[in-house]
Amino acid sequence: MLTPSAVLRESDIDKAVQEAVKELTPDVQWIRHEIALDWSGDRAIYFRVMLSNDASREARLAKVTKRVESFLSKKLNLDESDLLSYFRYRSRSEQAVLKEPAWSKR
Amino acid sequence: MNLAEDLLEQANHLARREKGKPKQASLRRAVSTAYYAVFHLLVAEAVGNWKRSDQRAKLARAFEHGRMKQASIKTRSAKFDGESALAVAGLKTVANAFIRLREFRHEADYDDSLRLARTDVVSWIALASDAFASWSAIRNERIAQDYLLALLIHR
Repeated sequence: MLTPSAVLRESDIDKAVQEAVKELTPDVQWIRHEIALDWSGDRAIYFRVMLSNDASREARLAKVTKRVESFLSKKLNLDESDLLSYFRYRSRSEQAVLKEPAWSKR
Repeated sequence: MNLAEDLLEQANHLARREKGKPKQASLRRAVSTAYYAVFHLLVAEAVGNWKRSDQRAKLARAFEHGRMKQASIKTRSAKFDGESALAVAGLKTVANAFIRLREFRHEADYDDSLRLARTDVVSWIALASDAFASWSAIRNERIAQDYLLALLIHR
């Protein structure tokens, strides 16, 4: 894992994530993030967003993901950050099947 | 439909191909196909500006994925002072979609440890759909045409 950028501080990211979860609950169950190099070596922040089963229904998914991305983009000014931003989504029922440690609640 | 639209339709089909538990192969191909839908949309738009139609296929081969990503990174953080806010937002939607889909496509094609969920894939295909819609709205704007040129010649 890389250290946060000069522009984005870990404390700012944590605060924005907590606010996003509070704002978007119950659709958003939790959000985790990691700063790393992406596939082509650019610095990036990866958000893992666990959604409720209801929020991941196709009828609602696009609206929910746009709210998540818009909220965090504005709070953290992501487009002007030196970190590229990537969002991953999963529902609780999908994680129950896939059982990936990276998506397990801490 | 043109190639880019066909690819987007195919990505949607692959993501929903198995009604119950989706096959990882279907989800991986859906992600990759969504990326190439956006890639071909932009390349087709760019080479469409070339007057001689018989030379467009050759010109299309000059586009490099890495260079297109770097041009998109620059576009995503550009200020575009004095330009229409709607056009700027639309262009940044396209640039961000290209950047993100390229990353997800690499993971889907090359990361053996990756386990995809349909929610992930459907949300990423939505990025491509949004890019198509945004591009349609802004394609004649000067900043959109500047972006097409940057995709080809960005240093």
